Amino acid sequence: MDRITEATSYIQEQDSSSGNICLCTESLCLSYGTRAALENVNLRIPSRAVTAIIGPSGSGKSSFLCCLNRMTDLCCSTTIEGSVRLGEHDIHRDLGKNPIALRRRVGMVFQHPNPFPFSIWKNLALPLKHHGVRNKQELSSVIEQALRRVGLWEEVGDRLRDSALTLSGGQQQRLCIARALVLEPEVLLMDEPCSSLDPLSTKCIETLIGQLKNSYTIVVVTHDLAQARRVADHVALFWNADGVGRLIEQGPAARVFQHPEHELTTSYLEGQL
Amino acid sequence: MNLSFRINSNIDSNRVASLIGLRNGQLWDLLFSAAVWGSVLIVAMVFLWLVGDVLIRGVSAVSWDFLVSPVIDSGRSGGIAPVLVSTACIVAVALAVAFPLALASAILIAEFLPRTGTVSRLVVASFDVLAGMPSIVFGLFGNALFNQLLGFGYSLLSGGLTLACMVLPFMIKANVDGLRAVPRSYREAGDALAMSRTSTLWHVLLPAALPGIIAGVLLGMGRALAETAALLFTSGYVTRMPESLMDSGRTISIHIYDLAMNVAGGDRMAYASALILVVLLILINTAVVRLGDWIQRRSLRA
Repeated sequence: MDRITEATSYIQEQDSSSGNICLCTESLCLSYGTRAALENVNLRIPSRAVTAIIGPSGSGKSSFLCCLNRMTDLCCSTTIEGSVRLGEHDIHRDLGKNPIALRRRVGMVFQHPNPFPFSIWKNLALPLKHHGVRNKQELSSVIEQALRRVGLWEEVGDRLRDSALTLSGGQQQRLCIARALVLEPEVLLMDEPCSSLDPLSTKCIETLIGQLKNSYTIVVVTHDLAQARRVADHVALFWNADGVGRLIEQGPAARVFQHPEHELTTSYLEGQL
Repeated sequence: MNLSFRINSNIDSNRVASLIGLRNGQLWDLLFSAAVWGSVLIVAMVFLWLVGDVLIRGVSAVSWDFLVSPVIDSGRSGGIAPVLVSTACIVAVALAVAFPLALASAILIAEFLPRTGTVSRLVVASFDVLAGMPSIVFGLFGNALFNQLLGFGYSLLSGGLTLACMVLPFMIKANVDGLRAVPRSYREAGDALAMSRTSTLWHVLLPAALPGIIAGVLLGMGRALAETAALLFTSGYVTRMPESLMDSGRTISIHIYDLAMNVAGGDRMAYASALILVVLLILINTAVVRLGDWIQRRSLRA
């Protein structure tokens, strides 16, 4: 009986991983100057699902996330080897010198909410205007839609001209998510989106992630295993081995949490490391 | 010496403290507060004395006529109209030249050059040296370059350009500080939203850095208004009303210097001019700060 469930879960895993893969990395290596940060990461991120990246501090989770939208370009002296494929394209080779097209397709939300010091309205209008939406009516409707999607419209719909900095931390983070969504990306990267929020705001964001995965591919880095259990469909565990981050296990969340393959995963999930 | 003093005073303070019914720590708190407040009081007194002195001695000579009349008898009578016009021209030239250069340099240094790179360090070091240069050296340099080599002669233009060179390092420093004070997360947010760096800079970073930029303008303007040495060699000290930027003219600071040092019986008018200068500085400061607030509110809100 056990063997049969194992076998079916294995088949399911094969199925889902051979199905719609949105992003996939092949032998990805990242180094800052001479210091290697990531080595040989082969990760497949299924589309329209939540992939949680877990692992201890210093295991390269955030660095990995930054490779996916080329935020790594900002630090000089980073070198990337291997490839990151988004759909058909290799994001480093095919998209060449210009990461802007890529970042329209791959949005990002940061650990600390970082709204611009503008009004709520302008926070959302600025990226839209920059990408060519000038019509006032169109702006209004897109902004309202984005705010409704993150559940902010009911809370702040009547004071869009107030500074975004007057919002609470959780509201600011949802505003940042809305701001990433107005550009209609395919993928949303979230770097520990709840780590600076209180439990209620965290719950709110997690619910939001659950709703958004129907339309977007979501990659969320988290320290919080309980959170990964709650939101993730797929899990990838990174580990720091000899100062370099490696991917040691990946798969559907249920399988990884119940039958981890790697012994480090077992001990990490049990909180022994 | 110092140590023994402290030990002695400790013993004494114990005795004094117990005499007046305080614990030792409380006495020190009291003395420390007194020292801090005393220092503030001294500084405030110096400022008040200075302003009061200028006000009392100068106010009797100040009138509307004083502001709009030509300089007569080397400044012993008449007014300071041409001096005010020359001052305005020189400061305007200096700011018009220095501000764009300073802002552009600051953007390069703060946003594009790696902070610890050789180029950045060299550029910043050279600005620091320039900032420490005595203004008389700028005067000689301006005279050699603008008056003679470029043939502008003793003129408001030469003076303004020389002042521009002089205030440039201060303005650059203020602008760089202003830009560096903008949180890195704004830049990351701009990049993650697929905005170009220029667009992030223009729409987000510059408005956010506006307080530093305003401070730079004020600092530059203050120094330009106060300058005498660098201008003696470049704009000259003619008291006529200037007809173009190629005319020679004296700023209000030079006028004060000249009245105080070279004109017997010019004291009263020197004080009157100084009063005008102080009032002018206060007005300009307030106006520029208000303007900055307004621009920032507008660009942040809309």
